[in-house]
Amino acid sequence: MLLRSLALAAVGCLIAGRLAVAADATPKLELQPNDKIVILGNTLAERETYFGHLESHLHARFPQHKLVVRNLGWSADTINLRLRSLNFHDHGHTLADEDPDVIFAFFGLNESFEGKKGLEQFKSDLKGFLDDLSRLKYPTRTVDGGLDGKRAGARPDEPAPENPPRIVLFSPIAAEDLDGLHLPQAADLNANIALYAEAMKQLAAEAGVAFIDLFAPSQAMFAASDEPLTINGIHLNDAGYARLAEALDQAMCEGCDAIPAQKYESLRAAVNEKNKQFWYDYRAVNGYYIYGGREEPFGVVNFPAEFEKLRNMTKRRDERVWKVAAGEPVPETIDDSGTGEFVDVKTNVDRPIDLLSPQKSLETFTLAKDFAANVFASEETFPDLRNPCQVAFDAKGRLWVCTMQSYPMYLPGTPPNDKVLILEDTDGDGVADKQTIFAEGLHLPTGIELVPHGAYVAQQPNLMLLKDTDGDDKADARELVLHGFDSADSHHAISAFTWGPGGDLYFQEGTFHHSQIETPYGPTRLANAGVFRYEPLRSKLEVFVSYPFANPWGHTFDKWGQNFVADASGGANYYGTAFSGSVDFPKKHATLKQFLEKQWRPTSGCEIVSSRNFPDEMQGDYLLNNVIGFQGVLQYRMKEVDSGFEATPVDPLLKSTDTNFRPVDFEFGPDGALYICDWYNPLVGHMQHNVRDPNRDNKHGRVYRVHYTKKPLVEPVEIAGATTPELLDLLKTYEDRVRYRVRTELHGRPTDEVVKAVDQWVAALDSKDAEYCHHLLEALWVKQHHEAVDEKLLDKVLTCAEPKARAAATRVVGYWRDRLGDPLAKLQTAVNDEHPRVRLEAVRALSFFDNQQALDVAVESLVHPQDDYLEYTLNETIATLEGRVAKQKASN
Amino acid sequence: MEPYERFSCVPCFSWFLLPTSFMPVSPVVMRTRRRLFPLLIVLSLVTPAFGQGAGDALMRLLKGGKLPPERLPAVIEMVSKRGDATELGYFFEQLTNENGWTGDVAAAALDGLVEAAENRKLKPEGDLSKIATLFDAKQPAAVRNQAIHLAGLWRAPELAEPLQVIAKAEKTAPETRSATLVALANFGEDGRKTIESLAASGDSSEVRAAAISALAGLDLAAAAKYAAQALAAAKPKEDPSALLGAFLTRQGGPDSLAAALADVTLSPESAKAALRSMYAVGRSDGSLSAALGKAAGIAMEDKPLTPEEVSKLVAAVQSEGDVERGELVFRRRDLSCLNCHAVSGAGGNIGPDLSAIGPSNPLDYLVASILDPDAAVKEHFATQIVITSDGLVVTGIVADENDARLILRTAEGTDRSIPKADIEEREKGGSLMPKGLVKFMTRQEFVDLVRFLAELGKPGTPYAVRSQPIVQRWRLLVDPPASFEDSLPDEATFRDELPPIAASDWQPLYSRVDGNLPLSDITAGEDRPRYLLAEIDVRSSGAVGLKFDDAGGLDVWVNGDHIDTLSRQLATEFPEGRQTIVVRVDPEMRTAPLKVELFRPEGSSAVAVPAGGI
Repeated sequence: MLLRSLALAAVGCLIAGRLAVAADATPKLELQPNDKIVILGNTLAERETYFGHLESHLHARFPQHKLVVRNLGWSADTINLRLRSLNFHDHGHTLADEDPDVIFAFFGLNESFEGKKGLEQFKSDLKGFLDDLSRLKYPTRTVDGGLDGKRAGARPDEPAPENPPRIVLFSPIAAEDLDGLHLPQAADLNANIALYAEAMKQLAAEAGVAFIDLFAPSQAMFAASDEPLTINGIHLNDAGYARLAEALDQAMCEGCDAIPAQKYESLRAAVNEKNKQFWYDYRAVNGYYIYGGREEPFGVVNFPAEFEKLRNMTKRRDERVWKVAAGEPVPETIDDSGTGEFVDVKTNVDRPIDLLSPQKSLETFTLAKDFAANVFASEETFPDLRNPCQVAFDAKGRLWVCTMQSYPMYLPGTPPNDKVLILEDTDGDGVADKQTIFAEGLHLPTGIELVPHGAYVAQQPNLMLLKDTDGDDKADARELVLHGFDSADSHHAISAFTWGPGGDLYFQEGTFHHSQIETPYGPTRLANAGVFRYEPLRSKLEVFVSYPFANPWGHTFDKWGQNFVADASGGANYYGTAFSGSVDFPKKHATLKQFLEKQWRPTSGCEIVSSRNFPDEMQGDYLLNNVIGFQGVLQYRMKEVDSGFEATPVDPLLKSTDTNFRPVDFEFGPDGALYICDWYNPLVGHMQHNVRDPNRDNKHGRVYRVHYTKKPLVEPVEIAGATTPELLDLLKTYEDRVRYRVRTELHGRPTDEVVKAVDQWVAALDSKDAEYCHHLLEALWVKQHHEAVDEKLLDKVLTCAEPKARAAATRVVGYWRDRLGDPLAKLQTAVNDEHPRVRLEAVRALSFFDNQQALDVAVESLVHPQDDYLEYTLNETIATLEGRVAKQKASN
Repeated sequence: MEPYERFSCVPCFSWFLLPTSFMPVSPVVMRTRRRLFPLLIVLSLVTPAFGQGAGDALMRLLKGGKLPPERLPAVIEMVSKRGDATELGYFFEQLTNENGWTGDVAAAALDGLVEAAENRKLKPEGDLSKIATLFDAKQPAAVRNQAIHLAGLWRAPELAEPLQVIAKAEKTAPETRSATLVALANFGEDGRKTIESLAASGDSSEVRAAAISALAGLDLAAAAKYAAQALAAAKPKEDPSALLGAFLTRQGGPDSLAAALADVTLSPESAKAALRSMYAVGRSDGSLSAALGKAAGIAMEDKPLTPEEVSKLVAAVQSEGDVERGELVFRRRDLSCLNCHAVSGAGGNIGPDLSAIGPSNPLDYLVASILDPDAAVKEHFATQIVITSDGLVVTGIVADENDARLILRTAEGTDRSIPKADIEEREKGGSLMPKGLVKFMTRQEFVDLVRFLAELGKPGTPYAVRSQPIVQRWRLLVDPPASFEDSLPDEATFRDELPPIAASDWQPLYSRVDGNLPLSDITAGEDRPRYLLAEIDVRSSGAVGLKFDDAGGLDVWVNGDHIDTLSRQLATEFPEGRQTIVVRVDPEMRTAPLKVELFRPEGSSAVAVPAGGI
């Protein structure tokens, strides 16, 4: 039975009442001493754990209660679907494991995207959900294989708790309009959110559950604020959480004195420290080895002790929170002695490990004829260069590297201190001579990509944006911009960051992972591997490729925007256009043929040769790092065949006999040389050795520079200091990577200025220039970067003489479809194009629609010659569209 | 040593029987096995009715005449996946109409009707008995077999009789007979009678095996009885895989066969051959392997090794393991390692490529993985076990899956498509690799094998990975035509009589890791000349060179043209595509192993690689 309508009077501070509209009819909730509060719900709940405002207010108002608060919030959790990796429910954090006295449940935003038509279903589901909660049933789901989900975590044989938890249901907050971002109108989102909030209120009353409306107060809060209170219209920022917590505090503690600022901040610091340790436990990385499919034989050795310690450390921090709340003094540092001891892990390495110096390792390289290599940077000169994972050159020609000295993962009590370094060759001798630490204190940044004065880094389960706002090359602003990427295996976590030509950020994750990310367009879900596509200006995250990869770790685009995806674990390589059409979760694309004749595995990173320093015959070759057995850079000759590509092995660019050499990423530098990032580690597998095997190295890391000696290096161009018109002229540069960096730089310039300059630049282009269509395409991409939809320019590229340009523009039609007059007419023209690649892009783009007309246009493509890719993609598009058309028909 | 003699070594494997707790019995797998769950068919099975979806547009295309003829099969395939009985009826009419579809188009329509019947339980409109017109022996075998298959799926009563005639006819080809018997199993008592009479007293062991296999779908116990008798009566070296397969692929099949085996006496040779045949398809079912093991005189009980025992083995690998002997063990045909694992691109792709297995995997991991392949399974190699509504059991790696069907790649390397609607149970399995392989090795052989694996891919050794294009996968012509045996065939004879590459006359042979194919592997000790075939994939046309380590005793045909004066190097202009090199090896003129490497002659821009795989 639920506790109902307890008397309000006794304790001054109560949650209830005023915020909810019909206060009298709403059950009230009283907090009691030693209550354990569990916070459940979507990103609104989850993000609170990073700011701690709501919880700090609770402790401040109930200092004697010694409340225990555990935040189980999880991005995009809904009342019906909560994806988790295998056996997550064995990790000790099910609702029944936590056994709360009080539940704060934050739901409704993700559900509201179903709109009016989903409302009745929501109501009936919510009823069952509240009933489940009262019995501590909160099942999660693991998607098996790709299609079938199975529920886990519910323990049917477990009796209902003797004292049912007191439940407080929170409505979603409202959406906020933000300047500078291209977001859905808040009013449109709010119309639905209000509907769902109202339904929650009604159902809560019927179920006798306390309800707190956040919709109206948050709307009032947004209206009254001069500064943005959300990061993307739907997720509160620090100030937003602070205001919301204050509003709640005022409502529950009417007439109470304000909490003194200093006390509040020290309390919040204690709360955040406690929550951080709990988060390391609840959202542990490498879960697949802790509780999942590979806990045996190694995880069972070390992890039980580690998590026991971590849980004791969290309890110790609860006590510290209580002391701070009660105004008692606490020591500066936390003493974790007595919280538990680690197990001594013995190595199972049975061969001698011989770590070579960078120079010695270099001597093991066999390079292609007339190539030379040198050490650009290493741990010898830059001791912070430890376990580098991905590299990227910035507009100033400096190399950014993310490092992972905390590899393989956080050890309880040792704060991780992974970094983003900027390595610079100030005297142009091909060797780095200056290091700047851009950011530190990170945990396993598995991927990095740059923005002007900043970088996106992977911080599983989140995507973080680091920014230097004052120009001192130090990240002074950190923002978690996306949540919910799974962390079941850090080797499978979001990685291989790359910009697409149109200003969209791509990254990928491997199998085991179950990700769910909230966006202003609704939740995005992916289970068991795929590639993501993020449009920062729209705060839009889509699944770009949903495919049963093992563990993709490599993605590159060619000069014409065609992309290629490398699956690391099995060594497969795929042509991106064919399988990047839309599919509806949990479906995945069917098995696609590989475009490349596989030689070795596992690979890590791919890049296309585009450098005037490299030999002519190598231009356009596909380079692929390989890290076990064959350790070096493989090379493949690309050939356009039908609508796609085929690649055949030619002599490798680089081969090393140093078994610790692990080339994990590479990129062509401003001088046209290839810069190879070496993870340098004797052990790389998670399955073959204990995660804590003492032979896993975290002290080494190298970057090598490889160039061709029979041709001059490329003269680096000035990007950072160039004017916008100068930058546009740089888009005529031969090297793909130069244009890539120029586009990124342009992305950072004011849209008005860029659009105006692009229009002038396009007007001045010579239509007889052999590269005319490519220049036009670059202009289109720049506009895509800025969300500056230009149908006239788009049509110009769609009708350009060069089919590769038409194909690339057809992809843009797909991404601009919501903002074009008649996108289907353009795609109908494209499915009848004489060139198969244009038809392939069109058939792919049609998968983003949802109607019979798109389906008919797709079928029309069959009149023209087919090939493997066209047949494959057509089947995929038809499957998606048929599913949607049938679903619509069913719901009508 | 004769292959069968190796079994005499088996008793020395008592060290596998020691009681212990180490060996990874994989608690996770055990747990999930117990948790069989029914497939939620309702989840997302979208079978759009005609008139919506892509169907209408496809049919308009098909009938509209705008579609080039070569595109018809693809469109037919697409319609098959969604069309209703009327649309399928159009296919059926075209197939049985004298002026209707033929050739590729007809084949596509037949496949489409099968797909509709299997995956969607849908039959075309029209007089279904007319399918019998395609049973005619003049029809291409593929058409005939597929039509017979359809007849079984449709079960039109008028079809029973023509099927019985085919089943009993002496001249019926084995594949057609199998298809017919399977089809007949759907025709009630009449069908059963025919099947059972052939199971009991068919003309040949092949006929009996096919009938027993069909009977297993109707009456497992009866089929098991006949199978046990057939196994007991089997001649030495007779391949029992067809018989066993009938039971391994059925729910309860292995138990039934094991029970029936109790009533017969199997020769140890037959029992061993049966065990080997089980392992070759990745199976080691308890009751059946125990029954066969008993007949073979092999102790089948497995106890996991203790950590101490593993350490001892690891130490033995380090001190006594011999890498060269280990490679011989790895290459042994009876262990079929290369059927599933490739080295240097040659070999199967059912398991992981082992070219670089050594440096990244510690010895205890290698030892554990061979003893218990389920202990650690690399992502993408974990199996699923599916039980269908017909009681069939299919184990394999998911090759593809959509709403309508699941495709599992089995240990035999074949893709089995299972209609989703037929899946009764589905669970996670372990590895496709059989558990009992070590029973076919002595302890020393096992130690040598691990040593070899540990060496594979180690830089600076002959076992390092390499990227030189050496011909690694050969095919040996098992029984050359008589005209090839005695003397050198002239070019016309050669072209006319060389069996097609797809034929089973060609048996795969793999070069050693160092690229040499030992002569003894080619000749098996005989003096007669042998014919080998290599394939080369030319990606970009131009001159491609072939370098022979030693050209003695060889004759070479490049795409059918004999090279009259063979030196150690030859260069040929190749067009794009797959090229065929045939090598005749005369053991009387040669003792050296065979090694052929491709190279790019000066000035050539050709791109070519030796074909790998199985």
